Amino acid sequence: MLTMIGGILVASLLGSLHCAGMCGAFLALAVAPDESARAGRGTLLAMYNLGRLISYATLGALAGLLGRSVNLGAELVGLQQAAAMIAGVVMILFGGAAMLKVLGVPIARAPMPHAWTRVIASAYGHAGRWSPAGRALIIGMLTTCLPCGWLYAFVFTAAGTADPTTGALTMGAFWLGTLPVMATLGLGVQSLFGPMRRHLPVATALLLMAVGLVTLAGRVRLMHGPEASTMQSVVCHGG
Amino acid sequence: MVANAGPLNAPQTLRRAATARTSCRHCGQIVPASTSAADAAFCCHGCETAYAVIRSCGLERYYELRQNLGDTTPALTSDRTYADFDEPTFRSLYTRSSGGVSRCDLFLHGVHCAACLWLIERLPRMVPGLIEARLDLRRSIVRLSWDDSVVALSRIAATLASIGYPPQPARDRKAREGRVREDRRQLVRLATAGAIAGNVMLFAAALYAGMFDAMDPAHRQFFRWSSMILTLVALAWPGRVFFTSAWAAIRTRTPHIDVPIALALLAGGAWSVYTTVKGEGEIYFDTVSVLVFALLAGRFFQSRQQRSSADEVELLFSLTPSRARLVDDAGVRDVPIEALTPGVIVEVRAGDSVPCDGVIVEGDSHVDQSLLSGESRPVRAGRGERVAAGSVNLSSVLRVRVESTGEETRVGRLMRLVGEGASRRAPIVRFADRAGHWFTLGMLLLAALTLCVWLAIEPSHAVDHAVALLVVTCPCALGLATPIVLTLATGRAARRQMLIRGGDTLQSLSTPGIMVLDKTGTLTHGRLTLVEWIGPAAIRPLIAALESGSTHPIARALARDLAEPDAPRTPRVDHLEQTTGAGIRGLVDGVNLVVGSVPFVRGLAADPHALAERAGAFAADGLTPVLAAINGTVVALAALGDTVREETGSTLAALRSRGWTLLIASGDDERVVRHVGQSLGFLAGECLAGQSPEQKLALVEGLKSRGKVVMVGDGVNDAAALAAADVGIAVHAGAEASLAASDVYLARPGIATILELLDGCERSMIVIRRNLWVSLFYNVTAAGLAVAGMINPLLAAVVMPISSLTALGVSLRSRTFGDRP
Repeated sequence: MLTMIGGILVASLLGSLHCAGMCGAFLALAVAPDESARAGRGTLLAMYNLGRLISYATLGALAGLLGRSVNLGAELVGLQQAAAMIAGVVMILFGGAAMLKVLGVPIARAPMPHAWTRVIASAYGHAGRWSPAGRALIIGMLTTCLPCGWLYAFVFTAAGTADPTTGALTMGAFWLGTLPVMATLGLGVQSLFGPMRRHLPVATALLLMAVGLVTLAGRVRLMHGPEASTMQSVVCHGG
Repeated sequence: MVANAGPLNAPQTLRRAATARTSCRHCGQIVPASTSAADAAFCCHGCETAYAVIRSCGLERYYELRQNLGDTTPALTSDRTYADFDEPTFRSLYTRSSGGVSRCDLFLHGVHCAACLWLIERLPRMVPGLIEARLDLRRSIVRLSWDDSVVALSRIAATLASIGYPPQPARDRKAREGRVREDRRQLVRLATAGAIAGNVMLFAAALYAGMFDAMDPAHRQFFRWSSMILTLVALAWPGRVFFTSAWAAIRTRTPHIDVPIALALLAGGAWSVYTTVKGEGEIYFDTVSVLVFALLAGRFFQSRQQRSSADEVELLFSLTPSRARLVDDAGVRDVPIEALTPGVIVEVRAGDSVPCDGVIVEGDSHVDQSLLSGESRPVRAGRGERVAAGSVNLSSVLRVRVESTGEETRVGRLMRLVGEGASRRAPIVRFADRAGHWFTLGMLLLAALTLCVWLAIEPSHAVDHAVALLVVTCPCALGLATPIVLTLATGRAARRQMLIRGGDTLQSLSTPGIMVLDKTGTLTHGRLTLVEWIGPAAIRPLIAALESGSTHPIARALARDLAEPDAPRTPRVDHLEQTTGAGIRGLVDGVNLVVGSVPFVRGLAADPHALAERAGAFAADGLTPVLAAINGTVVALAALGDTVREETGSTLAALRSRGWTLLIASGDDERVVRHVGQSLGFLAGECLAGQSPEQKLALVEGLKSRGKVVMVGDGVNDAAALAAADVGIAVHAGAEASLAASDVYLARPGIATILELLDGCERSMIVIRRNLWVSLFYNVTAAGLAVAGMINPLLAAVVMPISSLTALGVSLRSRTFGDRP
């Protein structure tokens, strides 16, 4: 499991530059100085990232739960650890599609339901009514609702662990990897890594596939440790 | 910075296209140029959504503050606020204004049944400033009239979208593309609902099996929760249409059949969620998901059938071709009619219909213009002459320069008149609407009652029975079948060259009343023809040659009817002398010939009493006698008259036998009218002569107090009377003027078509009434069975679409107006 967590951390770190690009706007919104200056910049930053952590972890836990039920269902037809297998395959496919896009092959994109955008937009609008700290927290939590493929790839990985706690931990690792970029205010860091940006799409694609492979190969290793025996007893003895 | 800056950005866009790479609007990352133009603005959905969210919060300044991200031209995210509907370009293209009232046609997605019509037409209640919203059900196009100073079109459009009918401008081509997209979306929803229903049924099967053998509680929970999640997805996505229209119906206080369905789904779904979370109790997810699928399937087939009947009924295309042969430098090729623009040349082969209004540039042929002019005789058409869309090219190929196509042609404008009239509510449709409202309310009450009663008797199945009742009853014949029969009948009649305006006309004509007939042109041929000839045949061509020099109607009749087209040569005419109102004389082939009225010829002839008795007898019969004298001696007598058409007698007899009271009202002379009337079986009192247009109007008005009045005439001098009558039928005259004043235009001359018209109307009404009775019978039976608890919701879900499809299918196959023989 440590290998898995470590791998996720590294991948997240490397890909976090794009996080700055997309979520930098919301970060700026969250830490925008207000007139009353009740909360300092540091506090706002902390609240923002705390909000992100809360929603990531929740998502991870739910994903783990989902993965567990998939496992349960799959066992009925004789497939072991289907969740991890599915997660691994999906990640590889994601990475492959991203790579193809970089190479210029047209990949169709599924349309986003407009209703979802409206819901998010109105939620952001409501956030404005809270205190600065609360607003920063909510904005942080809402960033999870944006349809970011990178984020959801890791949610899949969390689902692959088939355990709520491990799922939450997975997403925590992801969060940790994004922290450096999101903790500094993003803008300065971007210019620092400017030259690397051209390679970002390829890098992220490769990373996705790598994490997928690790998930697939690592499913055996995931089953080490105390959780493994409990799961096995559930499977073999029906409870 | 916000809205589409359009042309201002063109150079930059071109430059970008040249480099074929672009940066994401939001995060600035390089986006490969593989994706389509619209998508290429963003690197991923996340950035696209983030951009939309930031814009909607009004924080676009963020982009100005960002430094390192190169050029950002405004993005093309779709704006669901319909603000572009208020743009000047949109308005100039799609809206018309007059006197403070603006009008616009919009194509609506999601219109699927007559109840939607009730809903949309109540829109003025929801939006102040909107005067009227009239929906054309078969084309899904709503005609809006609103006051510009009170409300903007964008607000109206947004309201339409919020009640479940996203609008877009209704240009024909776009509307068709919109329909294709709509179809695809419907199919996707249907497929999703089907997939979910299938899976939930599998789980249900497992759960049922588990009821008999023991099932591991964990597995049982797994199945229940999985069913729940899948069903919730089915309700949130494919099933959402029911909730949207039910909610809209409640907001506008319209009883809509989606309300009971939505209630059924809600009740079944909510109860089952409760029992799933609680861990024990009955779940109905299989019912709910199959319900969603079955209802969507029913709706899908309904709209398909509606579409095919709408295409059948598409009046313009039933009368003009949908494709044309375009002539350009590459040659002649087949193109759809929308591709024609004014100025291009099209080729019309012999036997083809002319696809456009235009001018002949090459070719010499005959065309049949009966649809528009009523003149069934072929008209010579050569270079420089105009042809109208809908006329048939008869003898040889023509090349025509296009002047107008589609709805701008004469026949197109005509069809629009008919189409507009088609939405006039026949009394029976209004009845069906009201009945539908009461029906829906009644069913809701009955369902509530059923629930209460069964909760008292046997609670476990109470929800089942109430849901079954809500689902199985269907006012489809009321809401759907009646309008379809009417529009179908109108379309079929159009193909038989009977243009009917308004469903109420169909209903009016289905029962007998008083029919007032014009004489000239309606009962008779409408022009003078040679009826009798006494004299040698040899002088006929001489008279014809002499008369051809005059334009007097008598002269024209004589010249036409006495001429011999196969003669080797025409007689030579010299010293032609015409005396106005009396006669004509001249030297024909060396012979001194005088032709004219009896007094005129007698004054110049040597033998004044010859043929006198016969001339007098002809006059008494209402014919016009013409004498001919050669070299001073009366040699021939011709009698001209306006003869009654052959089929008139039998038609009138048939009308009388059906119970119609017939009257003649004519502007012609008393004797002539009486003579014609008597020959057709009219009593003296039933023939009114010397009627001016005002007198005809007064006659019609006076008769209306005695019953239903149908006026039959040619549109020209009977316009007022035609308009005043309950049903005005125009026969054999200029089409536009006639249709403007009357409710029916018969392109074929003579009144024989009237019989066909009345037959068709009667049959249509029979079909409608039959539908209503069958629907009543079905609903009463089904409701009874459901209340008694003998139908389960699954059965109901299957039976209901079958019943509505049957109603529709029978309506479509029904015999109303026959097809072209």
